[in-house]
Amino acid sequence: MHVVPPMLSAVPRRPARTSLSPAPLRRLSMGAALALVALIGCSSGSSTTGPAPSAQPQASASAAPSTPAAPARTPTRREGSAAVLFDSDSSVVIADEVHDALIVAPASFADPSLTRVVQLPGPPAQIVAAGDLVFVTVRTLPEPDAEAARAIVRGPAPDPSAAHRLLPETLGPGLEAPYLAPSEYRVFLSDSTAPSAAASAAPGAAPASSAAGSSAAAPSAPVSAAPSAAGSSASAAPQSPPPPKKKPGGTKPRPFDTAVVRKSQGGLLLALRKDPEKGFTETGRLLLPPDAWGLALTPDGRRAVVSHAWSATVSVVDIDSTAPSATSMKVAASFSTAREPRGVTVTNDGKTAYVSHLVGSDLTRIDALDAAPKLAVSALPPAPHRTRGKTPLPASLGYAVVLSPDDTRLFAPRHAIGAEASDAWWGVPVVDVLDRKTGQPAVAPHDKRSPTTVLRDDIPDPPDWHAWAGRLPAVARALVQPRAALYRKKTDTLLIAGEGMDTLVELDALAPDPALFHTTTLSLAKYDTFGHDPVRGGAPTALALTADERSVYVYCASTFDLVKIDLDTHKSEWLRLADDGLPDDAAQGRRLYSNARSAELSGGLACSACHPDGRDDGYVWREALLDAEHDDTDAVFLGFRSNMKRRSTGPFGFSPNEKNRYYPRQTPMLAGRVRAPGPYGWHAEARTLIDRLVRGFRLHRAPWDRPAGLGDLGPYLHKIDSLADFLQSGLLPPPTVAHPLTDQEKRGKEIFDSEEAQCAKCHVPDTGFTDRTAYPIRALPVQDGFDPERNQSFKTPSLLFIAGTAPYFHDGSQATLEDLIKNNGTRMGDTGRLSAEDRAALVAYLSTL
Amino acid sequence: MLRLPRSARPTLLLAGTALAGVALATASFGGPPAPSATPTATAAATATAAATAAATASADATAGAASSAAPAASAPAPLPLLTAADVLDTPAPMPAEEDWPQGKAVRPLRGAPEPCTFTVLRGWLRIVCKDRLGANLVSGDPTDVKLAVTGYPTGTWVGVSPAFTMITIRLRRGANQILSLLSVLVAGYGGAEPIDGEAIAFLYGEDQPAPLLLISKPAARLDLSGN
Repeated sequence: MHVVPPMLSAVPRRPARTSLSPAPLRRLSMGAALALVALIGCSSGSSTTGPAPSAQPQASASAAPSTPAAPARTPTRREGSAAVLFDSDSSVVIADEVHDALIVAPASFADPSLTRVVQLPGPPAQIVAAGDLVFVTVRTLPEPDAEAARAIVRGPAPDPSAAHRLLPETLGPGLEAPYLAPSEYRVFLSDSTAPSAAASAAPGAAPASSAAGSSAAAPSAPVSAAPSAAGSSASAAPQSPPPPKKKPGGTKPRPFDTAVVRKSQGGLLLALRKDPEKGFTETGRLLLPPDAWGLALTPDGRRAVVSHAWSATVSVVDIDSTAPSATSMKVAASFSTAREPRGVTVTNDGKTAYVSHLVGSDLTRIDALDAAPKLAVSALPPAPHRTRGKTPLPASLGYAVVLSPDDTRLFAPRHAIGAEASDAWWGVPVVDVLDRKTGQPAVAPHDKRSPTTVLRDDIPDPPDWHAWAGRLPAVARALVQPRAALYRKKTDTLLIAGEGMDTLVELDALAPDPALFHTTTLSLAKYDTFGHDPVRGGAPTALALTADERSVYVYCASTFDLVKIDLDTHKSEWLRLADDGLPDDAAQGRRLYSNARSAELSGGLACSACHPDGRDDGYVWREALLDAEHDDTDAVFLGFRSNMKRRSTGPFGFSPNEKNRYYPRQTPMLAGRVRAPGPYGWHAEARTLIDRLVRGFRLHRAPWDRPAGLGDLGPYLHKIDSLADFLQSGLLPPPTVAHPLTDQEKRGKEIFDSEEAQCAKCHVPDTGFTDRTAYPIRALPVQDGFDPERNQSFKTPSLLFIAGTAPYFHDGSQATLEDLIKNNGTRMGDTGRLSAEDRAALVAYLSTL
Repeated sequence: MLRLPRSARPTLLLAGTALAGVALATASFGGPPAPSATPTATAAATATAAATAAATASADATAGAASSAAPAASAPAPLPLLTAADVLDTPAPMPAEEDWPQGKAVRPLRGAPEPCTFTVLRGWLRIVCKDRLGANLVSGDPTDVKLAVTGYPTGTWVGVSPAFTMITIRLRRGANQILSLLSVLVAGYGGAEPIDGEAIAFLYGEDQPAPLLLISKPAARLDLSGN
């Protein structure tokens, strides 16, 4: 256990603000905000100074209750989510991270004008509802200058009066989804079943009634021609279709300054109480380490577990919610963990919590959660039945973790990197199941002695592929980039939101490998022509299940849609909650960044799969040069060598004489590191960011299905341009707390700047700690399973955020910064002669960058 | 011309399948034995089934109306589930081909059984799946797992003369096996492409009151190359 630094007990500056839809209520917002400031001031002990620094971060709310204490609020569902049902399922609360807001929508969708927007002091990540309270993690409380910079990035606050219904439809099974021309997809961006929609259609919009009734205009024409029950409500407000969508192309990016937007006072845990007019008012806040993300409450509502992604920390928080107007929270324990802790769940007895990680396969476990919490680790090797050899595979994208109702099984949807499948080049998405009784994976490993299918002798000349002995099932594409998970008790199934393919998938929770046992796959999105650019239903990231488990709400984060799906009939209703505040091109880049449907850009795996939140997956990929003797320019990425499939050179043949080579490439972090015009690439081979993206997409293509050449990318260059805009304008870096350098860090800086160590000669501080120049470096020992590098010149990498991007070197051969400095010798500068004390000082300084 | 994988030959022999009985076996692949041929469940099996009733009830909610709704007077009774009594403490030899028609037809706890039939006989489970071109044991112990295909698989490409994949497993305590079926996507002039079919799981952990049989739908497919 370690103590959270006192610097985190800083001043909360931006209070929660509430945007109200009706004009009279909107006029009240200033007064409400002022009242809220007063409330926060009260709950913080001071409106200007905040709680005094102390060894343990203190509860921000300690006001004595003015009325008799009530029982603690208990959570409706213990695991946090970016979408929760609230107030007896009458409203849905969305954590809109992009707009730094909670959006409270009416669960019936009947009257979108009842939508409320509660502006928060920073970007919310997860919510847990408990009685009339919601607890919310906020990733960063920005410093004032960072807040100003971030306000430009996020654009205008969502206008609750602009929330509107979209066309309902019955979702068809499967993954296929049509690509629509603007005149076709516009139909889906308003609710043509609303009485006034056609009358108030914006110029340029297709007549809703005719378009909706035309199967030619809408290939996936809505089944529900009549207004839904909700839509036919007498109180339903007239629906105004949105203005015609602007075609991307030409909007300029708004690059942010990494050094400013990253500045944080810490993360927050907020307690907000239901307010009939404003949606919510704040009753308590607790300053925590930055990047507060995952959240779960114990069943009695008296303790919370918060994960801090970038800080690699988990906090256990005591909660006293018995007072009606103030919620007291204080840190009971804090633990350092492996990289990127994210999803949190708590057992029924409130004694154990599990935390998933975006990087790595182990789960963090907190034991004795009801007493003196202790840190432990639960090993959960991913996809043992798809693992070659005995070494467990690495894993990534562990955003969520859920338990079965009886706590006997734990489900961890994520990526098993390098796992085998008939068509896997990177690995497979899985739902790993931990048998809590045995501590072992529920699925048995694959046995090499498994029998082949015997062919009967009445089959004349069976083709070679016929039996396909040993063929493991293909990648479950619907599960690519699993983001959120729920257990549906009624059917013993798991509901998973798939970000990559914009899906809702239902899996059999009784199966040892639920990913192989799906019961339903629903494709949510509609796509622009050529685009794989979701115009609605993009990037499902959060789920909320109704109490009767008949309906699920899905929040689609890249298009800001809330979808209500009847799980029996698959009828869906839609509510658009907000618009993207980024310039149009960058907004399209955001939608593309998480989308895995584009063969040209993704190869079945989106940018966000390896660069979640713009960070990295901690993995060292194989840059594979296939058929190296005949083509020494064209490389592709592979998870493992074993993921290489035999390439067909004809209808029935293979190329047996290929010489393939494999070079190690650690996934680089992107967020906050891509503002420079160039060059980019490991060898500085790409002059510009767009050039790098073009090369990158060729690397990410599956080896058996590649573009013929750069010329083929012509139609897609505008998408690459949009992605570049998003990387520079919208992909925010991790929040970090700035502080005056300690003596040790100062010593480290002296070493860094010294002529002796020569670090700063290439890692130039003024330009993001890189000079963007490739230098020949002495070859590193060749790692097992790789080949010697062809090109020993490597571009000086940026050191920004270096402490959170292990492992190090392009080959990932150094697990820690300490190892890197110790083993570098004179390869980069000269750190070989540093004393142990100086090495520690240099590491301490690097950790501040 | 017969071209068996070398590793498959012993399996074929061990299977004890008389090739002379091919016609009989193939004839039985087309569907399960008639419900009337299903032996009455033993008292022990009934007790075990009752112990898992709760799980079954919830599982049946997704297993289709035929298994979850109360059967109408004219509707055939749903096939029984596997029970503990179907698993023998002492291993018995695999039944001969001609014996399988005497087996008890069962259904999986989860998932629609089509295109497969499930038959239990003397501690062994036989799964026969129409239009499936092979199977693989994805996970679990391969001991006493036999995989075979018969019929005329290439005919499946054009929708005639369907193939049958036949999986035979000895049921036992501690089993944790997943099998996947191989299907074929017939794309007309585009040719035919092998694709994944259903997945089947057989689970009987030491703490389970009854064995569990699951079958999935084929996974949703998306051809990225054509996008």
